[in-house]
Amino acid sequence: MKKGVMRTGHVQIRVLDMDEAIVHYRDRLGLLEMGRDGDRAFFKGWTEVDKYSVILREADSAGMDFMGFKVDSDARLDQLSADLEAAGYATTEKAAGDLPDCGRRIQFTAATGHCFELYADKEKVGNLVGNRNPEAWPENLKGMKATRLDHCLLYGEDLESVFTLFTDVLGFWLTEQAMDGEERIAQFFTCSMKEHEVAFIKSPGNTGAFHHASFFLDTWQDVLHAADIISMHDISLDIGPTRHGLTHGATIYFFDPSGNRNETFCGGDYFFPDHPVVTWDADKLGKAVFYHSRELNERFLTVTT
Amino acid sequence: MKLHAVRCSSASSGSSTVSSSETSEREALALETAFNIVVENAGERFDCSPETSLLSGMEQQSKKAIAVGCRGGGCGFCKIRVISGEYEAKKMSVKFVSQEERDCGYALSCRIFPRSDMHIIAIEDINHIKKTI
Repeated sequence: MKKGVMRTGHVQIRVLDMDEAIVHYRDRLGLLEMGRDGDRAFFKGWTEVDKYSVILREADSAGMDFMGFKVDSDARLDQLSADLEAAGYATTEKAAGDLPDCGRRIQFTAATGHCFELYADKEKVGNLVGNRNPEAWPENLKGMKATRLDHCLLYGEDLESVFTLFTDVLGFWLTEQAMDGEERIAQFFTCSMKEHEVAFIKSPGNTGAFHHASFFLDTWQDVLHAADIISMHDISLDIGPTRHGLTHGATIYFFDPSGNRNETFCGGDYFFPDHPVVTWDADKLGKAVFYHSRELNERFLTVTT
Repeated sequence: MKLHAVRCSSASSGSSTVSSSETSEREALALETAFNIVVENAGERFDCSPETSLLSGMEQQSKKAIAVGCRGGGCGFCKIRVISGEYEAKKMSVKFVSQEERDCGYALSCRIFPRSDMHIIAIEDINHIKKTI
């Protein structure tokens, strides 16, 4: 949090059919539905304090509209906006209320074609157990009982520009990388103790491609429970349950009804600013991506929305 | 869903006629018989019932003729061109199938449901899917 960016705040995902998407994110992932506004619907995990973290928008294509990071004060927004402009990024300010119950947002587009935004304020509704003598967990959660939106993984070509954007301009740290000789082909960034808030994988010719949004679960048993939910409801499975070498998270990947990839995972590494960068070599990529099979999976590597 | 009918003299001629009309809960939905789906450029065929997408029908019979991606109409992996036959289509991403392409019989096979026997061509060569890393 070198420059006041605290964490992943929200992601807006395009869906082809809102009714199908709501069933998936509410009843299967187990997010809490927090409201609807025109062609959008809003959700959050039960541990999250702010009003929403997932925004679904009905559209004629799938994919990600934007990913938002929350910063620690309104003054930081002005500073970061100035820093972005100085670094050559055109910024657009969205007025408070453009997203309901959210303060003003500063939007910009990375060289990979992904739109990001920064904001400082969003209505706090609290988590489901409150903050005075809170019980361990709320009863009556649905499906996979996803606790929070954790991170996103994005595909694009110009990883070098994105590296400079996130480290120099936004004050993130590089936590983990995959190297093909001198070329960085995967890069994971954090601004918190989480192993990553956002990650990028090199994909020549791909612009603005969305690989997945990830949701945190507490235990490996919860990941297996998520796998059961996937089978019970015939959800499109990508891969898992398994473990990544990168981040060491235990994971399962699947698709929402519009083809956007979701991940639920548990465990994994953590970060402090004095930690060295973890590097995976290109000849170990199979193990880096899928620690158990040690084989790359075509669909996981190539399918994006 | 909309009903599409495609008839084409051959796979290579490129000439096709496409028409679509609103579905009227067609009698095809009541059919219990499966339709014969031929993937011309894969030398493969499979049966598919009216309530099953082409891609799902293929997967259920463990055939490998069309690339399997998200199965939700979002990623474009399972794109096909319909050479002949009738089908109904659910919404699919315009990023991967434009309206002009749909009018020419292109579709994502995870989003279309057969209403007759069909001949199709798989666009993505499942043996040569490009690797990103």
